[in-house]
Amino acid sequence: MPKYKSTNDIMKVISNKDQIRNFSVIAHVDHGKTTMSDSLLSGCGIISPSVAGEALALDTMDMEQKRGITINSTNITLYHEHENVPFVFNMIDTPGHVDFNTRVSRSLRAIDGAVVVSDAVEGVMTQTETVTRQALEELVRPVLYINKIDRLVKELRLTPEKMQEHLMGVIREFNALIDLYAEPELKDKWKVSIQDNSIAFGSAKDRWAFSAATSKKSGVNFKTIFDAYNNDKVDELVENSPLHEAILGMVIQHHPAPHVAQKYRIPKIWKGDLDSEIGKALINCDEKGPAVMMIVNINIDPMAGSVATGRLFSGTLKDGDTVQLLGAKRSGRIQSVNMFMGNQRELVGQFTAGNIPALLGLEHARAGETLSSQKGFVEFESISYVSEPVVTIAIESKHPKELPKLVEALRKLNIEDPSLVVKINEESGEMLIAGMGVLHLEVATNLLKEQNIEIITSPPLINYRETISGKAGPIMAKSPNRHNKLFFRVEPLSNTVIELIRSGKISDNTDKKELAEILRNEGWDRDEAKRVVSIEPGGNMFVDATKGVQYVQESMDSILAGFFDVVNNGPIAYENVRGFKATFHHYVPHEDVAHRSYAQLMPATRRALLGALLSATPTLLEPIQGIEVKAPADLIGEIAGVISSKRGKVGEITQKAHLSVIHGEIPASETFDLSEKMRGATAGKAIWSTHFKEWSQVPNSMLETVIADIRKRRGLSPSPPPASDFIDKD
Amino acid sequence: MIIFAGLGLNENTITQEIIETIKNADKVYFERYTSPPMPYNEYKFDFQYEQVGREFIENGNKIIEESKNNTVVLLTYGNPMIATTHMDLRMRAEKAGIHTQILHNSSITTVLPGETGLHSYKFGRITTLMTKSKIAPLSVYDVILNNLLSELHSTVLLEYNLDEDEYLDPIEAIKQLLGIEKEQKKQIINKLSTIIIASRIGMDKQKIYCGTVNELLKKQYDKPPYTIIIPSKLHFTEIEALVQLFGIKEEDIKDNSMNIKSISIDMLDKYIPKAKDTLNKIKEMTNNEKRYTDLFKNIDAYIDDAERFRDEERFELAILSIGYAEGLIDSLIFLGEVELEW
Repeated sequence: MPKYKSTNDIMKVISNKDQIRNFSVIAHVDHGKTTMSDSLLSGCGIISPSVAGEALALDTMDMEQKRGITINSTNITLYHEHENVPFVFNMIDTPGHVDFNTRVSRSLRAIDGAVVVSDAVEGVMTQTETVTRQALEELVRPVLYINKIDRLVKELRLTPEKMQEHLMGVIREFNALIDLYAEPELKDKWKVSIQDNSIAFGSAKDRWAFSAATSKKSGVNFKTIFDAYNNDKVDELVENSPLHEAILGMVIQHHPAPHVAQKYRIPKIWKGDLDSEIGKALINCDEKGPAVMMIVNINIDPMAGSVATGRLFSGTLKDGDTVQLLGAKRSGRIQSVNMFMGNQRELVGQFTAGNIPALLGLEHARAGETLSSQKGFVEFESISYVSEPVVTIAIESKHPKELPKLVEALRKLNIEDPSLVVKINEESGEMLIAGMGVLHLEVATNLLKEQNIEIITSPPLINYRETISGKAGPIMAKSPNRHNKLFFRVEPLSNTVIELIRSGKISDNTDKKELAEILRNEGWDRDEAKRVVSIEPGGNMFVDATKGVQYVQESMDSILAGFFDVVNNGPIAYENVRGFKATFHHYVPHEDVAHRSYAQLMPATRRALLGALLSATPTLLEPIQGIEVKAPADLIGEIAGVISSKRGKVGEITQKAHLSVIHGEIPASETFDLSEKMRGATAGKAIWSTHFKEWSQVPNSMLETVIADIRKRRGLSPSPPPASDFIDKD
Repeated sequence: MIIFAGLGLNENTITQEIIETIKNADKVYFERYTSPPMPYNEYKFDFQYEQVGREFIENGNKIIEESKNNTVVLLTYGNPMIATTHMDLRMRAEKAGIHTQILHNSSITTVLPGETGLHSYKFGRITTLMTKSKIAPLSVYDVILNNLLSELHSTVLLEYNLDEDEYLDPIEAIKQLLGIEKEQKKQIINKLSTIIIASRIGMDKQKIYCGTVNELLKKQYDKPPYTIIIPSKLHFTEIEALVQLFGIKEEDIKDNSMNIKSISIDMLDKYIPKAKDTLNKIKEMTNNEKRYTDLFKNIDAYIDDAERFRDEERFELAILSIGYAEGLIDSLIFLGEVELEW
């Protein structure tokens, strides 16, 4: 029976950590994740049963409800009694659409278990694979919920025996993922099976589900299901085998309590000294230890301001506590400690280790930040973002007087969703937002429109990257006053090193010794590996190879500013540069600081690096999107035709029930009218999704035109300048 | 031909030589960025000139081109080749086969000895403190430290940033120095150090203050430009001048070089007592066992040498000796003869 519990009751339960579960529901887009979350909610009595399945309570943004897809991760606390023992569940909802992948990765850090939702007909899809892989990498234990079983009866007309046969296929596919991606020692333990009660079947829309455990009690099995749907007795299923009992039963049995999970998860997700005071507190999920919380999500509440939600791994947080934001290197005061119930915040006064608090009052907190009662220890490693923002639009406000409002709204948007890159050019007044794809940007602009800001947007533009394929240097440039000489070499970084940077595995925060070790394994020279000054997260590095020169340290900030300027404004088209190593080769500075100021060294570094890059066979990279099209088999030819006509490649074609799934890739620059072309060719029978796949060199035949187009857009002459413009000879 | 002409410190210090040269020149440029403008009045000249900024001089192509067939005068503040250093432009012109000439004038660095009474022979390397910096850079600290170690006075120019019309206030400059002192702890400056702050030298309302850091932190300095002098050990005639010119009491004047320790002395003061101490401990632990006698004698001798060389200010030898003594002690520990951490 659904029960409404007061916050006090919930606080009492969580004083025993064995009765807490932190989990998430993850799925391919449209496999029914949010519907399932709502059924759980209704079962636990927070919203009324009659609206579940349609309320989408977790989709707090208006737009999410209109679109019927989930955009922002939200946390909700549930209460449920299982065999007379009360349990409290912190459930973090995650978006299913690939364009929002960064948010999925962030949510995973806070939880210990995941319910992977899979459509009974479609089975394991790309996104199921991506999120499951991400979960396994974070040591999040998965259980499987196969949804939309009703489709097997109603659409595919399968007998109970055929249903089971079909579902065994889905389970095999899922276990293959675990085989592929789980840590070796966990593979066998974490594989799902019906006997173990780690798989449930159901229909979230109709609010029923069963597992081996519930079947034993209720007698509901595939035969019952088949009969129920054929004899219009679905209501009985809901009565006898409610969804939340099956799902939460699996969660209780297979997902670890926070203190159990932290024992094995902390060594994987936290790189600090496990024998230190903090290390021990984290491992033991010790509420008496120092408070350590990882923020996974920031929402801006129109009334309360910034709301920071995250996992409290150790210690206790109370209203009024002063905490350190380790990344931002500043402190903040917690105005109030809350828990999230759907879109309702409840004041709770304090929270202990193992829970998911929502904190008010920390305006400088950002998603991914580690927050603590202490400072000066290793942060939780930055969560790895796999996707890259590849599409940009320009935004302006229709009414100039709304400009400040728009700038403020963009700033907030960037805080809530750091995977959006917002650039405001103060000189031209131009405002740019870059996102993961067209949909991602559409969501962002709709958020702005909802705040009653009238905006004009440009057609989407592709973000290119500049890179080099050769080496160059040492190349020298003098400062404007000609009193300082700077020598640089450049060369391409290897793909593995770029990947290490892009995934956040190495960054400016990496321990110097560890970094040197990693780079030496990548074939770097011993001395060079020790002298990395900066790792630019876009995939570039700065190495100081000067020997015995004075004032290098003091000049470094100005020199790095020149390096970052070049990274952001590449030599051939002012696009971002990706994958180069700048080696500071030699330095002849002026004696007096006034003559080697920022105004001198920044432009000199810029010139030397531009000259070097232009001498190192520069070229342009374009984003390639992976595409997955679902359509009836007879349309394969047409679809392949569309993909090929878009400079695309058709890859594997698989069969999922009555649908064919065509995998392929298309340059992002060709995707803008893809909907039109695809609809035309398939009479609207194809459904597809795209995701960022890789950067690939623009074909030589097009290179000149693409460069000229970008440069023209930026008001530049069509051809890049010659290297000699930036190089000084003596 | 390019003629670099220094205006000196104010509008009236322009020389007859410059005025005559300009009469025969085809073009006159006046560069306005290497020093703040005069605080209270503008330059007024009877000849035509064009004002130019940093870009123009740093780029230099135009002036070099024009001077190939014409006589071009570049007017600058002070002396064109001292703190403002237009040497690069001169060299580029010479390379292009253009004849160059310098018309000299006084510069802040040449008038400070006269204005303060400090001996020009005793000024060390010049350095600059910049705006937008919370503490002074290590290189500035090292310049002052090395000057003090050599008993030389330090001239510290305070930046004026014309591009942003920003200048470094003397109080901020002192705070920058106290800030780095807090980190480096080599005693180049403290609240009681005697320093000199010179403002608007050679211009209207020139004012020079001499006093302790504490006193000068409380004053207000009106408009730039400013220079700070950190005097080192003072000659008695220098002390007399400071007392006479700036009203400071003789007993308040401090020798700023007194507390400075060179890195070598600093090291020796730590290592020598430590080695002595440890050796005594080892002697006790081994009950002066006979087989160690020669070794102990040797260690003693090295420590004695270190002390003697230190007193003779032969620091390289002193450090070598104490290092040897420490090595011998360590070898005893490594061989397991004694169990000790030090």
